Amino acid sequence: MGVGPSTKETTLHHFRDPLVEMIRDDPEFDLVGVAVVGSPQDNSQKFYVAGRLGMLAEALGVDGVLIYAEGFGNQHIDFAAHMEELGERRIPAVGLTFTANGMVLENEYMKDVIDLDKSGQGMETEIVEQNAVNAADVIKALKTLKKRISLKRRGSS
Amino acid sequence: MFKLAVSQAKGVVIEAPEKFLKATQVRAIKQAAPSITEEQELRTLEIREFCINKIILGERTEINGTTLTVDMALAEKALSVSPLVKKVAMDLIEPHQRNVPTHSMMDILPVAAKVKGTLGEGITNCLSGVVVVLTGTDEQGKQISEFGSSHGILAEKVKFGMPGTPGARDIILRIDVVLEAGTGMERRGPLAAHQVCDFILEDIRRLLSKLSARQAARVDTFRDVRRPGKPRILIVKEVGGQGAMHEKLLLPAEPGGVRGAKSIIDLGNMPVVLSPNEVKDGAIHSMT
Repeated sequence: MGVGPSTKETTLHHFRDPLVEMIRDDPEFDLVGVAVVGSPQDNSQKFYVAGRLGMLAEALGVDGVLIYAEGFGNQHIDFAAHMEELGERRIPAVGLTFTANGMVLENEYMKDVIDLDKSGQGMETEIVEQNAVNAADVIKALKTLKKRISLKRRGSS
Repeated sequence: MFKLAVSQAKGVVIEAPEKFLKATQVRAIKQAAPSITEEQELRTLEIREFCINKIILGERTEINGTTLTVDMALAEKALSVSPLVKKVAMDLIEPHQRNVPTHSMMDILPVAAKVKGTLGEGITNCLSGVVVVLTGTDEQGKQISEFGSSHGILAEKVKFGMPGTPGARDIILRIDVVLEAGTGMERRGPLAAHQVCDFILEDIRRLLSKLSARQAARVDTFRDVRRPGKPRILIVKEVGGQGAMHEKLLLPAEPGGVRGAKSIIDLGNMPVVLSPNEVKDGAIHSMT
């Protein structure tokens, strides 16, 4: 499995990505950057890359991460690994992905995953961009992230 | 809010629970603190939009007011880009004519060109009202597609109006590529198709970058800012990096281009940090 027409992000999508646009415009957040990470073929490579992402987030000292995964199936192995790396470092992370009919694997750090399925069919519809991120998904994700960050702050103080 | 007005009174005693006092103090502190923290501006990006409402396939590329003419011979010339490319065809799809058959769509991209500065800062010119769709098959008629093909009737196979798809009134410039048999599932095949598309767009970009700011229909300024004191957020975009179309090209020379970009696969799929303005300026080129 991999990236299908309905879950892929076209070049045009990146020009006006609501995920980036809405967070940079939100005065309540300090957006440090956008990390693009690939999803390798090999499982061992996937965990290697996820480890680096965890270290990057740790080095940047971020308070929260919004993580989007393109495609589904195979890509969710990385996605789960990324969320685990962040979770182990106690960095609140909210995921956005097309979960289809459940993910191939899950772990305890994946409570906040927003499903991008819009067709309601839970499958690859082969319609370009149908299940891509839109403004409504980002609003939902931001709301969850705000809650998680404030919960963490309250817990530590 | 607690208000008390007493006129000509002697010896007035007001007693209130201590928590009321504390609450008012907390409120006063909150009001005194600036609600908007100081923003630190790192860099700005100006995007000038030029409106196009008519496209012609003609003899030479030019932008005349709101009319874009694309050189028809470019399709033929683009064959020289790669030996894997066997045929290139260009056509236009008007907004009301979207009930046409299409091959699997590899990418949808805008036409934008750098005027000043590098990606993510300076000035970028872009065309609005026109969107490029790259489609393709191989010589045996096999669709160049990743996991699932979007071939069929265009109107049914695209969710229009999404961030990454044409709007209701956009004219589509379609570039259809035929690749050598069997190369559609290798990395080099789709890359060649994207290079063909980039070659054609370069010709338009060359003119677009020279357009005067006075003709722009709209000018937007995007700022990369930091807001110290607010929760620090990192956005992570996990993209395909397995090969063939599961690939992204990062930081090309021109917005959304191919030339000068590095593949995420060649970078070992390692996390690369981009600024929000770089993403806005087309630092990510999708190969899917």
